[in-house]
Amino acid sequence: MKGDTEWSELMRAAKAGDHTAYDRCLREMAQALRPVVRRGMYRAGANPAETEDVVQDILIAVHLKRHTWDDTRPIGPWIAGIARYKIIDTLRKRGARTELPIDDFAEIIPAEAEQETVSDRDVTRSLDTLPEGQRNVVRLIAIDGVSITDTAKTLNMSEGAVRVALHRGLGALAKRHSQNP
Amino acid sequence: MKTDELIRALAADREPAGPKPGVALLLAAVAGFAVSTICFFLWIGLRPDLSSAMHSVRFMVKPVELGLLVIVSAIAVVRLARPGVPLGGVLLVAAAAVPAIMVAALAVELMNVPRAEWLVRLAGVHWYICVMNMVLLAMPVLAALLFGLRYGAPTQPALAGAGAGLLAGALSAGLYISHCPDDSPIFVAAWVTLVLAVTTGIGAVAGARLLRW
Repeated sequence: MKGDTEWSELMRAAKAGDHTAYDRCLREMAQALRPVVRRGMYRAGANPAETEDVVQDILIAVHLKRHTWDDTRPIGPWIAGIARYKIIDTLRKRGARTELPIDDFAEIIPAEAEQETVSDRDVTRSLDTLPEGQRNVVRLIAIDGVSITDTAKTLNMSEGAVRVALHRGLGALAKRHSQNP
Repeated sequence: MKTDELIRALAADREPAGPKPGVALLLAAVAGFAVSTICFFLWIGLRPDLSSAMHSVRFMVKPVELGLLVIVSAIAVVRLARPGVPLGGVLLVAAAAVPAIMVAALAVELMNVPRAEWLVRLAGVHWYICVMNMVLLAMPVLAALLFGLRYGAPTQPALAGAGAGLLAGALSAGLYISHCPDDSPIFVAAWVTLVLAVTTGIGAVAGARLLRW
């Protein structure tokens, strides 16, 4: 599987500190996941408009749980396992049936670019639930594209505090979503 | 927040990733087992004839069974902490060896012991205390393992919890056999099995509740 080796390489590079590789890796994963998730949601009778929300869930999990990938193994089954878990988790919260055919996820390969649709954007993750400090940091870095250094200056915080707030904010986004019904 | 923006935030997060599942679980198991061991020596203690018992086959079957079970269930728990890693057929075959040894030992015992003696050996000195103590001694290990599993990413939380319960039960039983005076395979087949079933069940229920991520 071509995509698998490519992503494995990118992830290994990312682990070694190559942030550009990591950024690219996540973007390609998002593109590949979108059609797979949409199909899974559709088949399970869930609202496919929630696709982007689930994709974001998976990406956060990939990031926060990246240490659970054994880099001597192919990365495809690892991503597929996370994706499957997050889709089932979403369906469980909706009270829908939670069986998903495994073969849908056997191969997640880099697919044709599929852009977020406008309706997807409406249901994507909101920052409003975060505590103010974390919300400001995540907003500046994610939406305004400000660097850590400049965020620290803008908010009059130390860079270390910005890093911690960013990390905690992302963790809170993951948690809030996995616990709320 | 759009997905592109989220990715920007994820890529900007340079905080180190968590410990590898094997490391986290090993530390958890060591810590939990240390607590169980301290409790064991404080309130239970070794059997006085332990060194002579270790020369008998009927005693030594127990550490062999439980040792194998510890290894198999430990590997299973580490695998279950990682998405996309199958348990593996070899592991399941190795796991099947444990009940096989237990049944073989039971068969030999039943052939060599008169029927009138069976129920006496089943009851042992005080089976209910043994069962209760083994279940209680498993709890610190189980709690620690569940804590360790939260650093992993178990995609089957109930199964991962069950595996942790089995490992905790096997470690606790392995500790407790150094106290329990009942070596009969009849006793072991009944009560150790019951203990493992209980700890596995507790682990499964706790896992389903606590291991969501």
